[in-house]
Amino acid sequence: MNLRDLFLRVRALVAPRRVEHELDEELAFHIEYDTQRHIANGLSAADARARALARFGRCRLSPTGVATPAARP
Amino acid sequence: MLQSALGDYPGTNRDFGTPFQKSACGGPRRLGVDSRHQPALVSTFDTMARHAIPDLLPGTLDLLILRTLQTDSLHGWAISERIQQISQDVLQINQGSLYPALHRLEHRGWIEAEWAVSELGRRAKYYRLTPSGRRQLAVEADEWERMVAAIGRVMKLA
Repeated sequence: MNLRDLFLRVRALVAPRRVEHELDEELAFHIEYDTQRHIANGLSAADARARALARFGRCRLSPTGVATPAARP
Repeated sequence: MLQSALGDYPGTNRDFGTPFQKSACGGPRRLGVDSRHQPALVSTFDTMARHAIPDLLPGTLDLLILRTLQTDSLHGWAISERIQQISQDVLQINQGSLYPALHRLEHRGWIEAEWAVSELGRRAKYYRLTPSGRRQLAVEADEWERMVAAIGRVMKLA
């Protein structure tokens, strides 16, 4: 375990919600970026979002627009 | 599988689904490359069973990520896209493996992350190589070259 690893682990223990939120934000950004790319390529907003979500995987968005994992089947 | 990868980190307990997620992109054949913990790149031969995915060498995803970040600071989407473009669509990173790999590399101190405003006007997490990561890239690149050369020799002579 290096210092960076220790720092990240302690941070996640001390501020778990912040770490969770940052992960959600990172994944939501990925989907949004992919959506915008598909729109730029001519897809409708709905189709672009569907394509981005399908490409990303089994992920859904919460009402706050934050990506959350799909429920386990 | 993915959950176990992220579950190592306090505050995360995720299941983004199978890393063998069916691609919606279509296109040419894409190779499956095994990361250290799970397959990271998937084939669009979707009729293939999981076990039939042609995994290559362990650690390949880490090497690709480190190499992609050698010159630029990039967010996850851009890393994925750059690998796909440079490989001429042969390699497509499974997103369910990309982010655990990024976080794993960050924990190892080989890359570091910084939040910045992207061209979308929205915050994005940008990754860049650390000095330690640069040294690791050199080591892994050498190992890769040695492995490729060894396989090449076998293929020519066997």
